[in-house]
Amino acid sequence: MLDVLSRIQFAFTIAFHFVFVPLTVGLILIIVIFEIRHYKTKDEKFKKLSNYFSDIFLINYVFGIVTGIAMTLQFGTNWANYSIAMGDVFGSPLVLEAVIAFFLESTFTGIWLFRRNRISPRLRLITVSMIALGTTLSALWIITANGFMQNPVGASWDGARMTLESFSEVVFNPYAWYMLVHNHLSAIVLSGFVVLAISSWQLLYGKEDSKALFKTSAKYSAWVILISAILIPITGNSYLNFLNGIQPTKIAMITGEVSGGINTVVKIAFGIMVTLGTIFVVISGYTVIFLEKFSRSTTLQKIYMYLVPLPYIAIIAGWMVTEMGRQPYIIYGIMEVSEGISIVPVSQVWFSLISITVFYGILFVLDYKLTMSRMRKGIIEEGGEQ
Amino acid sequence: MAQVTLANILYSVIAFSWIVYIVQELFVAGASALNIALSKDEAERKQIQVTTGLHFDGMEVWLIAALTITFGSFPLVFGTTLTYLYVPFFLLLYTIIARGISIEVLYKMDDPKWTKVMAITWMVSSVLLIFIIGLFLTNMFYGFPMDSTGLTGSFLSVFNVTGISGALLFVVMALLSGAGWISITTEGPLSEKAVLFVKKYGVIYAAPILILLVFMGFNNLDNSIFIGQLFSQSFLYFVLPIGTVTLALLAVYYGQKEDGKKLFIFVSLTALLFMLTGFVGIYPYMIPSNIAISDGITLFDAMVSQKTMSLIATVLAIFYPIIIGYQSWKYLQFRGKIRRNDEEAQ
Repeated sequence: MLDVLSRIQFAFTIAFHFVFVPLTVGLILIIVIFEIRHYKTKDEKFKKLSNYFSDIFLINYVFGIVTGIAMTLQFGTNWANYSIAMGDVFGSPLVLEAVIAFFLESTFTGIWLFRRNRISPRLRLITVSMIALGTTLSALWIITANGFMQNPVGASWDGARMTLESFSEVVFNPYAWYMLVHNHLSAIVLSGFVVLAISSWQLLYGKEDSKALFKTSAKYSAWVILISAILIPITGNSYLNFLNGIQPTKIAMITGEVSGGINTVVKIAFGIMVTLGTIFVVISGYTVIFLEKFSRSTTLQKIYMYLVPLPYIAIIAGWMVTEMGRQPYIIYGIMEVSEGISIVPVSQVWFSLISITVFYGILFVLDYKLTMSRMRKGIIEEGGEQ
Repeated sequence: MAQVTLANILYSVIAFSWIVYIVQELFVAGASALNIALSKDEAERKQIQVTTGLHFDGMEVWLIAALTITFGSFPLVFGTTLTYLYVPFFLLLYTIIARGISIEVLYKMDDPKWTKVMAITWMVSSVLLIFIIGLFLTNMFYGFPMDSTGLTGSFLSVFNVTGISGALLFVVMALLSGAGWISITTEGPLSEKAVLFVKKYGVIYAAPILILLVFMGFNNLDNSIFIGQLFSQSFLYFVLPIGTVTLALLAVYYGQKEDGKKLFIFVSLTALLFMLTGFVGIYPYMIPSNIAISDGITLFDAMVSQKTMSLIATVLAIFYPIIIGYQSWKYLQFRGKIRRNDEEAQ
């Protein structure tokens, strides 16, 4: 029971955390593009777009941070046996993530949230670049940790404790790099779809005088989606070839060699991911080519507003393949998930599971309301409303 | 470097991270907790939001750093503590989430109904957050009921008199530090009200009394930190607890004189020395036992391999100075006073 509850809780909290993460990771890169354009051309329209999408970024960033703290704590509260056995290897990427990435992004996000219109264009560009660097480094380190769970290299296992042999092997674990690139590109696609959907909403229902602006953001997002969506299958394919050698059981699940239960779920999730990935290339290619048509067609704009769930489904499906595909292992081939749990009274895990579900329900409503209400307000002129 | 030396260094860095976190958390949590009592309108609440919000993201990472460095260097301590204190740590998590979200929602939403609910959430979560942190730290210095079989009883053991006094001490220090911070960093009537408020309600007198209660609680144990390895080594270490009380009395003095800046400085120093007393006192234990001293877990029981520790120490040696550099730059860059209706146009 303890085992099942701890798994459910981890799956639920990580999935919820991951509603916010890819959007912020990708969106900040799009904001950097706007800030570079603003810095170079001195064109105010890029500053307006950057400010507008920064508000959407910042709302989701805060939710991502606080739900991320939940993940760190759970390694101790719910996965103590795993943490103690793997601490020598697994802990250091988390330290590096906090020290190298979290400090950077958090410090500069504070400036961006409360003081961005008080600073020079140059300092604006530096600030968003530091946030973008921080989020990317954060992804690098957490994926290094996950990569070790998938493909444990650079360490030795004595049956009870894992001991670090070579940190550079842990960092240059090819599994982690395939996953980092694949995941980052997916996050960019997802953010591109969010920008495209918001731009569509603005073209349909927004203020007349800011429509030209949102035509620009629609163009940028369509290009961003197209470029990343083409790169995803290319990198994904070599990722899969690499997996063939190191995770035979996952491959057997994907190809359907083994079926039933979790195996079938993995196969279906893989199918969904690949199908959606293909659709993304088609949609973004069409939008880039027929941009003029899109900016006049209310039908297309309405459709685009409702495409947002698709990249979320694709990215969650991808992670299901990754994580369910390594079952029953917590460290592939070495330690099973059930061996990693903390021995705590079951009642306490019930307490945390129920309370966190209720709490996250409230958070989701708040995030949705905040994001939607900010989206609807549109561009706020300087010196106007706060 | 020898494994033992590295463990000592990392233990010091963890203590350092906790102290840097607490000194900043005190004014953020305290100013947040005072938001309803002090602000008579939304413009004043916005002043408090800007002056705390600007720094809260960056300072919260010090807590994450303290926890993850413990995980990376002393995983046994991390796993054992968080498993035993499962419920308190989840409650802490909820207060961290509620505080972060309410700052955000308040800043972005202008619906008066939401504003009211969120202002209350902001206040309550800030008080509970610093209470739980204080409860945890004081108990860490007080020791846990650990015998040769491990930790005994349940998380409820942290609700002992000493622990609760310590938790209240942190709440009081937060209110004082927050009031001082508001008076230093804001302009207008808000700035003047802040210190008057903590003086009027006698909050300024509570800190030295609570410190004495906590120290007496420590001293009542057979395994008191005051007879621990370092304190019994040299009498000079008693400068720390005596200094803590002295600084708290100086904070009372400047609170009386309504000097916000000095109040802030001396409360921060009080917190610093209080923490230092604790971390020096429990050494070499990271989970001290208040039943039988030798049953506690020392840093040397829990440390990871030399390779991993030297990796973490190297990373910290490079990045901590950089982090301290850019965070100090930020405090200096944005040191101007926050005026009424100063919130930025977007």
